Amino acid sequence: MKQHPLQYFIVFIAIATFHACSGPPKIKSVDTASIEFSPQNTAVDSSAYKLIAPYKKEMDAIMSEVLAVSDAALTKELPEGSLGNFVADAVLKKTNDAYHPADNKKADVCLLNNGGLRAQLPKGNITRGNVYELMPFENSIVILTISGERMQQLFQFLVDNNGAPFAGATVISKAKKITSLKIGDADLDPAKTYKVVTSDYLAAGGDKYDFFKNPVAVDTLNYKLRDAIIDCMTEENRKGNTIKSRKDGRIKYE
Amino acid sequence: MDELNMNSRRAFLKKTAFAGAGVLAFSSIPTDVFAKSDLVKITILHTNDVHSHIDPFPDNDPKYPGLGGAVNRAALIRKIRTEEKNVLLLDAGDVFQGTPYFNMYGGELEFKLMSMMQYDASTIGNHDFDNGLDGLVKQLPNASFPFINNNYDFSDTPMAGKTIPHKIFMKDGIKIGVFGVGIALEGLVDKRMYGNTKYLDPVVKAAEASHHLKMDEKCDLVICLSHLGYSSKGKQINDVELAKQSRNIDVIIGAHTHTFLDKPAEYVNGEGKKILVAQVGWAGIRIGRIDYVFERRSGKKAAEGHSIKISKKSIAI
Repeated sequence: MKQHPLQYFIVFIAIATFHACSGPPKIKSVDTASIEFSPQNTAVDSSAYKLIAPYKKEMDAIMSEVLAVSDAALTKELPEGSLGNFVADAVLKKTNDAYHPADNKKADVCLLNNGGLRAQLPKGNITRGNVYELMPFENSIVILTISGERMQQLFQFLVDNNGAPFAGATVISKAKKITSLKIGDADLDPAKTYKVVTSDYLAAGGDKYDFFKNPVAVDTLNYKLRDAIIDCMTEENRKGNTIKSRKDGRIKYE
Repeated sequence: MDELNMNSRRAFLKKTAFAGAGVLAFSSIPTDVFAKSDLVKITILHTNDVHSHIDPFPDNDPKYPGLGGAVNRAALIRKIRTEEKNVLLLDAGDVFQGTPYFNMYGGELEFKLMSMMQYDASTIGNHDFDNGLDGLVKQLPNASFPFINNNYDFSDTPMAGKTIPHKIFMKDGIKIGVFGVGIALEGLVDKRMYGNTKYLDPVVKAAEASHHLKMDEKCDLVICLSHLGYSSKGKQINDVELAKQSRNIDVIIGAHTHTFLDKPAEYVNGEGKKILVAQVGWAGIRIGRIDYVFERRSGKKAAEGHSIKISKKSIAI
């Protein structure tokens, strides 16, 4: 029920009157907007503060480390966002740097989930803490070998669901029908098999990525997604490069 | 207890010398008004999906500048405790995951802070499984409050015997029953993390628990701590659906969907009675407050709820 300011006034008077009849008037403010909390001046504040302080000090020392510098904020957007692009590109690159399979075939694409990106990255200094907030989960990288047909289903899912962070492919659709799908520079060949980098969470059926069920082969790397992102950033920084915030039209609706 | 309708509610309020004020925020009624009367006021405070947000958001955060923070939350709770005699402080799950505090300390500080704030109970959210069942078990000694859940069968897991199906709180002669329900884990949580936890139908388990609390235990108030989510576009069970199908729940304190409700939403349950559904977003940005006033003699009750933004300057919404 809407409260008219007048009602507050009446309430206020009523409280005052009530108290006037039953002892010394003691008026309590109705409007909690006027209540301010200063973390320094109450006992419980200082005890909460004291409890947190040693944890925070140790954590901040590690998390405040600047890993890289970005040229602009990296933002989470669908169907394509600069954050999703950077993360998927970084994970694909660092996976292939660490991946040396018997068949000598590197991973073709990377597919993650937008919900798994838990924070955006700022313009300027990017700290270790920023990356932990972006990717707090302890998920590891897996490489799934899937048929070309499955790969087609995967991208149809992306088109139907307004995109997701991915790398290593370009997809164009019209009225939700794929008109062009390139893996790397070549058109998808339904008769071939492909390798997709993803998280163990999604490979295990998380977020209903059903096209990952029963793959031809599974390779696991003892490599966390977050560590791949951190490694990519420190590498770029070492080379003197900034982190680029960019969209390149890797998914297009015509 | 019966719900007070508008007319009887007015008559009822008259006894507290607020004639003419109509419906007002019970939170504004000083506790000592109730001292010698037949009325009992119970203040329920609730949080959900705090997600390891121990520090406030930075002052330059585009969405939540300076909001939240355990120090400010503790201060607000402490202040309310000095004003209210009968406070029940509850959390609806997903205490874990979201800041490096969780990555580094596994939820230890989150539970210690909640214990310090004297939480009365929490239920279990999907992210509370993020370090596996062993990761959750390891942190339980840091929690001085119970974990309440009715629809996860943990009997074949390390969590066996570590949760309770419900708890009854006595506050000034008013009997409050609290039970809890959690979300389906398959496809949401990595199987390796939840292990042999069996998910049971939350509608069935909620009906059993609330019937027991209301009918057998004769609770004056039955609270469901839910991590099902406020509403979902798909077919998955959620708080709104549970509310509509329920019979013996007075309020569902929800979580999971990070829904910011300025005040509890009202629905009609399976018997045509009023039920409240509350949820206060996430990250400890807000705390929910529901004030119930019970009239002992008639067994009637009325409720008024709102949410409070947590900041250095806390604001009632």
